[in-house]
Amino acid sequence: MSDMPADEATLLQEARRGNEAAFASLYTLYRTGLFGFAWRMTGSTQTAEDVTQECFLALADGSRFDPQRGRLQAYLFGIARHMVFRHLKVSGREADELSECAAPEDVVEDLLAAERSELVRGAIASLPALQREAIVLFEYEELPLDAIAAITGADVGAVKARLSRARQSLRKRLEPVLFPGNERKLS
Amino acid sequence: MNEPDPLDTLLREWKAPEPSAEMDRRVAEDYRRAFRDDRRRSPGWRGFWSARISVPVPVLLAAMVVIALVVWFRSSASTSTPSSAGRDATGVFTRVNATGFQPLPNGDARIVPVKEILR
Repeated sequence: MSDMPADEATLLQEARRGNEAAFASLYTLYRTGLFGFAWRMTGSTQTAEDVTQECFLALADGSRFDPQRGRLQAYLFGIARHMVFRHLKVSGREADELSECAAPEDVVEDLLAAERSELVRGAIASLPALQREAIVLFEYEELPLDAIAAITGADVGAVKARLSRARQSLRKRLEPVLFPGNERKLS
Repeated sequence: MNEPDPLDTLLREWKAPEPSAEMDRRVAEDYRRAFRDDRRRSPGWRGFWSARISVPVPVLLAAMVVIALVVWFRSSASTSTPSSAGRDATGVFTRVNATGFQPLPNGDARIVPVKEILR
């Protein structure tokens, strides 16, 4: 049984009948989230736009989404996720959790040179892809754990574990920004 | 009251840009194109006269034989069964259909006995 909201189901039905306004409403509902997810995962505006476009093209095509099998949100983010990971593989970035990326060479230097948001971006980009995905969906798209589990095809426990590891890594890497007093004491 | 985690506060400082209007245009165009193509595939009433259905040959032949038999039975039944209209209880026709009746050219009339008719 689908837990798709009734108004969303109606919009989708109308959009499939050719009602452009209904399609536009669905687009407005998911456009920013899908783009933000893809952008934070890939770091590329062009790729994020391509991913978002591809998601809605699949929706316009209409033949592949079955409302009985889950929420539209999980379907759209699932497509985005598939494309993002394909992009990461092509661009040579690992998608599995075992590949820990190297920490920024010198966080203190980064502090002097870049803004805080750039440091956050760098710290998140340095996370393994599955942890990065979990933190982006949870922190930025504000999705509940069960929705993230549906999108990623993992169980809630695995999502929690990824989030916990991601936060631990981020806390460590962003420590000089989070607790500047500690840095002073060290020097 | 729990204080917000400073990590969450810091993470929120990283903001995503807004997607471009060009992307919106492309998505809208994709939708229109997809729907246009879909309509072309299912033309509705306009395609009624050019619609095709596929029927297996054995089914078609069986249907043709059935139709031929029905037509043949109906036509033979109508020619072999004389109409009972106009016949009374004694079996004598008291009413005849005069359609196409023409009098004999010489005006002669002949009386035909009933026995001769029934023979």
